[in-house]
Amino acid sequence: MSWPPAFPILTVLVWTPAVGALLSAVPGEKQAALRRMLSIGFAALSLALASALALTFETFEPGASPRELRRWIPALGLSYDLSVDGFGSILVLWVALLALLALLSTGSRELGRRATCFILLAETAILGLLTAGDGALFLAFYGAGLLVLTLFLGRIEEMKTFFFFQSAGAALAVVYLAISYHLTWVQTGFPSAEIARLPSLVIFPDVQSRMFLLGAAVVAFAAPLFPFTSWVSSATSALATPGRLLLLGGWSLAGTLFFVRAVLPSHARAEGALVVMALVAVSLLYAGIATRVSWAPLLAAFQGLVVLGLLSPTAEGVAAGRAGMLQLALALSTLALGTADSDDARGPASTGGIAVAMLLPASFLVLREQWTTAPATTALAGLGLFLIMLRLVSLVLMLKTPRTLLALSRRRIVLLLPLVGFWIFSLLAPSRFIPADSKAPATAVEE
Amino acid sequence: MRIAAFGPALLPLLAAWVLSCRAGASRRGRVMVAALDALALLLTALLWNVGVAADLFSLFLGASVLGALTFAAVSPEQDIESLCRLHLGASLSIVAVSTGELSWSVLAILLFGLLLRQTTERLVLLLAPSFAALAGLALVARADTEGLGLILVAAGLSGVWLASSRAVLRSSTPGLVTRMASSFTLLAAVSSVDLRIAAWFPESAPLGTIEALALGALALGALGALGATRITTFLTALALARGGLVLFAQLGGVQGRAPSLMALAASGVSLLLLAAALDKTGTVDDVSNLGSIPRRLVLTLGALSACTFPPFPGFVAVFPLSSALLGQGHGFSLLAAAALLFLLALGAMRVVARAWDSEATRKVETEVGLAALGLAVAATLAFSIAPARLAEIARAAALGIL
Repeated sequence: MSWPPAFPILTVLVWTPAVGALLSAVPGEKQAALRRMLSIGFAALSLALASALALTFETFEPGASPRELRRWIPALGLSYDLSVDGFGSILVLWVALLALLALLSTGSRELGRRATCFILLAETAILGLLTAGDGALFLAFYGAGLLVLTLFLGRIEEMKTFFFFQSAGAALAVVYLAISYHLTWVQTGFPSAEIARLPSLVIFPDVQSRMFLLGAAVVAFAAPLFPFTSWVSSATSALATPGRLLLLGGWSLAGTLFFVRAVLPSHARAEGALVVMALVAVSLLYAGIATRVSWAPLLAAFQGLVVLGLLSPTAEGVAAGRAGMLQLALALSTLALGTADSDDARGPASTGGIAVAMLLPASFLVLREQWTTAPATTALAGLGLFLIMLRLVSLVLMLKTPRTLLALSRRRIVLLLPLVGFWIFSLLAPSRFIPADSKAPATAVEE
Repeated sequence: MRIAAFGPALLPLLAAWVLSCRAGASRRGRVMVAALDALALLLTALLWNVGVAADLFSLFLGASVLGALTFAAVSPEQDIESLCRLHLGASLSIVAVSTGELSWSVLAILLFGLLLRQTTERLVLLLAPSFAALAGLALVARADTEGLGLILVAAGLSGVWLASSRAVLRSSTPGLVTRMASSFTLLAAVSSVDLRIAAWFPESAPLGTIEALALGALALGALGALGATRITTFLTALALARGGLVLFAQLGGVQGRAPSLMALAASGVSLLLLAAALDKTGTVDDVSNLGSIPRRLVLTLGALSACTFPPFPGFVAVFPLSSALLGQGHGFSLLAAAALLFLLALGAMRVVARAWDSEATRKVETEVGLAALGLAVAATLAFSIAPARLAEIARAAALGIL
């Protein structure tokens, strides 16, 4: 089965929220209900399209997954290329759901015109990131999403801090893709920024290592992997719940997504992988021993676990890393439903427990798969994870009133249900997370 | 047929004459001037399409100059005398980009530099690079020392542009758009000479000097944008950085010419939009007062495209430009340029963040003007959404460097 060729489902899916943002900007301040209706309508339409795509994905024949390829700038070899694989279809569904949850997380009067437009624009940017098959298009969506989320923060200092780290990642990503573009041009004779072409490039081992480290640096800044990243606390404090949901549940995918789509297929487990694994172990240990349970070390540590999985030598480990990407987004969204990051450790501790629980299955699989290749780093990472759990458990036990354990309003608890549901779904559909290139040999062996 | 490319230079002269008459200050006179500029732009497009003037490179740069001129003419509340000087300068600029003689180009640029309102103190800063360029020209005439001569010409002309831009942007005359258009028009002329030098003298072109000048300008611009408190300083820094980027693209050899032209056109768009959005703001902190959302959007578009931030105008040129630089073995310079553009983006975001600060109390409700909105829409369409035609035009123009 395939979609009718005349219906560009991916284009419609990606741009529907942007159209919704434009239309939502029209009603005045007194027509908040109309704006809310419009924005939720467009977000729901986007979710319906994403659901249709995800549900019908299994029925596609191999190699016939949806793809829209149009010439954008032929003279430069850049194209408007949107495509999605099994893993991408799940992430697309998650982002569409997340945007709807963000719009529903507050009442119509609390969510102004600015926030409504930014949520829908951010959804378009993240959906574009998930589906872009051309490097230039990927960067275009990346830049647009970065700008929207920066402006969403609304306070100058927070905007500057967030932009500093994220644009550092973006600048490195531009360099990475520009070098890949040059290599493609030299080796094929035609300019192209198509991401799918990158694995077929012939690259010397020393260049491989440098490129891998360059790609890893993108993740380290954007994901982030640095335990001392300062934007997380300030940004989550500046944003209300809808913004926090988009930032932590959606944008946190951007860095690792670049790693999965552009770096790993070309430079899987290059020499530089050891450096990245060491950084991950440090992040996990720091999150375990940090005096204050803040979101920044937790985010860096969990992103590190995901990256550790993605670097795994086995398909199961990579699949666990990919599942971890989604489960981390779910866990961070759970955190976002609680209070903003603050010096009071109980905020992160109460919802942090659920967040860590959501990540535990993937973490276990990741550590198990990595144990055979890098036991020392894996042991350190495991120790860090153990310390994080220990700290969270002790913090929860120290709470005097158990009622504060999950101090969420009824609306938030209702919003928590789809998150838990999606998490269960992610556990029940492991085949979606296995990389496409590792499925093929298995089939060949069976035949 | 090269002579045909000079044709559009006559209309700005006519417009300058109209502006210098009493009628120039009236509404009717301004409309006439804008019509003449637009006519010159149309004439250039017509020459391109019918292929009368074979020198597409000259026509491309001429169109860039005339585009800036038209934008300045239709922008509201510009200083008449500055506008008049800009028109005279634009004519000289078109001569500089259209002539096949290096000496004529250099002289036209030096004359343009002198034409801009200069104080005695600033004139000294202009004269030193002017003499360097003239000395370089004399050395180029003696073929045995053309290497040193070309270095002096490139460095001297860049110095003239820098001194003139700084002087004109920091002057106190009203109309930021006209001042910025003057700076850009001069940049187009200087770039044409640099590109021709690289094309005419591939063996002895002063690539080392161009590299040093480009990275120096980018570094000064990026650091200046990060630390600027006055809007004029901020704009000067961005103009300097853009000049450095255009110069930097010329290191890419034949492959770098088209991206260089795209970067130049994007520079014009971003700097003019910024000038339109920041007009009548004195300091960077004043930007928090901007109440009009279209004005803030234009400001964002201009500021972020000035640092080639994706997906804003000028970004797509990054790919062929990087490829050309890597092909010529300038990998480390490319990394340095990327780091400096990152700093420039941080500097630009300082201003953009102030414009969108949700806690600011907004007082200024001045609109950005139809001209700026029109240019913003056209630039977004031409550079970001459907840039295929622009890329082809830049490519054809780059192949036409004679």
